[in-house]
Amino acid sequence: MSDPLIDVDSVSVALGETQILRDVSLSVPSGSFVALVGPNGAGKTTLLRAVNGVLTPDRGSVSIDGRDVASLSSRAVAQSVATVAQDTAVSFSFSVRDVVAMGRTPHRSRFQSADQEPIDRALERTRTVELADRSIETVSGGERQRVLLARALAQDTPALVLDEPTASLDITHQVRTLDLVRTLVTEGKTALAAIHDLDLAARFCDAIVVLADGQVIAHGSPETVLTESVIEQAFGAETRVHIHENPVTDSPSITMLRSGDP
Amino acid sequence: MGRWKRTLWWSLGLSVVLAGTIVWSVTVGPVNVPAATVIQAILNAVAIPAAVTIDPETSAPIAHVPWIGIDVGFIHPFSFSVPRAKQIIVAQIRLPRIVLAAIVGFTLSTAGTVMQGLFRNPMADPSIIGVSSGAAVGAVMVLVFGVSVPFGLQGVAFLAALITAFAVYLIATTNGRTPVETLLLAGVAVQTFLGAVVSYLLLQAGKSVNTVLHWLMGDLAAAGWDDVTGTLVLSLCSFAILIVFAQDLNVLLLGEEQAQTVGIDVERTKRVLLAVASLATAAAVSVAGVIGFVGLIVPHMLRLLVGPDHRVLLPTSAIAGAIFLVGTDTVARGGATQLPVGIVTAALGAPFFLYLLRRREVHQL
Repeated sequence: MSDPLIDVDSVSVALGETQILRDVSLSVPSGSFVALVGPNGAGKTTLLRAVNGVLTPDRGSVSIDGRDVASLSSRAVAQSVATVAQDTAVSFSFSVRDVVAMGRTPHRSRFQSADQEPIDRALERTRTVELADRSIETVSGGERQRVLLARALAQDTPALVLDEPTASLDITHQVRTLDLVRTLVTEGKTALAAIHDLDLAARFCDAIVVLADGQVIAHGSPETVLTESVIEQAFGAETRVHIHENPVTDSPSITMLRSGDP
Repeated sequence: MGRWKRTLWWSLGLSVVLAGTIVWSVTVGPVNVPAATVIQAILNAVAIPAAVTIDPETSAPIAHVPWIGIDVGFIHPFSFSVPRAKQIIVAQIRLPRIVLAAIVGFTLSTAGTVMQGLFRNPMADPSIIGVSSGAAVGAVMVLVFGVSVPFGLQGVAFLAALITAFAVYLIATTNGRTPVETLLLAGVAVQTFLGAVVSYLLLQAGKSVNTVLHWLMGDLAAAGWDDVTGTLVLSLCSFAILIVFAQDLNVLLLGEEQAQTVGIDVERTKRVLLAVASLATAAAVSVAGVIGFVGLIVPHMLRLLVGPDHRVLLPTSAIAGAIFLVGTDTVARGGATQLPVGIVTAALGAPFFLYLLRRREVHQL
């Protein structure tokens, strides 16, 4: 691991009257896969929106590859970070190939046609080649998620930001998707992903950042971060968990306990 | 088929239909002019600017370009023998109105396509941010108070339209951001307010009420070649700019946030598209009055035929808009009583739209 590719420095964001992020700092080393976990409303999506330049922080700064995101054009930001957003509702009948081709927007001038080679590669990597000519409206939720991942790959950026990339997927596709992200990271990309499933985060990511109530409460390797005290602090006083090592994956596995459980 | 080929073939096909519609439209009227004569007369009227310095002996009519101060000579490549009266009926009376209808339809349909894409709203039309209402207030004030103004009724309507659009834009903008939902609601509110102003002015209209009503319903009756030139220039310039932004419009359909993450400068793009589409709409309504429905229905029809890609959709729906308005205006003037074209576009357009709505999925972009 080398210098941080994504560096978040003391970022605070308020939306209206509500303080969403308070003094959040974290860094994602180049060539690593970092998971952002935490309860609903912890500020994960807001943090990702600050990283990809959709939001400008009230205080603090985000830099990618040493360049301050707030000072860059949206085109320049889109050349360094691609986003797979959580909200994937689409109501128009573009073909899957057209949607993936939109990922080439930051790389081409207005009068050029899109370079087909990165688009074909992205379709292949995400196993969406056979969907290429279908309308985006007619593919299933899981397929659509892969199409949006393909679009992000076509963008050909060093950094990848993913907001709940497995949320609408069945267990097979959850594992396949994260496996693909893992492979891409091994090949040199850097990924920051909000992930709900703590087991999956522990299994696929190099490091985990725990966000609760707009603040980072733990940051480190899965084994050091996923402790009962951290989880209980993040997810609230009523939460009791049991953590054990998964015998198959050798990564920490978390079981939520009910009040009646031993 | 590739996108360029599809655009080309659709545009060519529609252009042929447009040419046919125009010829048919010229034949319609109180004096019977057969189609063959129409074509000959139109070809006779074709003038190609040939030279700036000309010999009046060889090349006949000379146009004087006042603001540059030069004379331009024209070559008339065709000279079929057409009776003089029919030549005048075709070239001086019917054709200007028909060509203006084509340009206005072209423009409104282009602007409607852009607004629907930009607002991601199937009910968006060219004057969604109040352009037509603004033009109406300007025009009705001139008609009711009978004041004489430097640029005439059209100039006042055009200015009032642009001022209204800009005001709506300013109202909806905070901290450099203009959410389309706010823009839409601000547009509705301003249109309601201006509607009240127009209604009040109508009550004061007295003898001019008939003229005012005609203008409000959209009327191409008074069209001459002067109206055509100005509108044509504004319309084509706007179209050229909008077509350059066609792919940006496609990406905006993903939603503004996603468009931004693939590198579109969303706020700047919205500003350009709104300004140019509003300018084009203002140019159209200031000469033709408030013509509804063209800019709403034609983009939907073409979306069903060619799909949502604005690189194909924009040129094709523009030409289809021209066909639609030439056709409806022919119906408007061809009957026993001359109707304002706005009545015909709505009366024919609305049932057809309802038919599409029942048969196909027009509720989506």
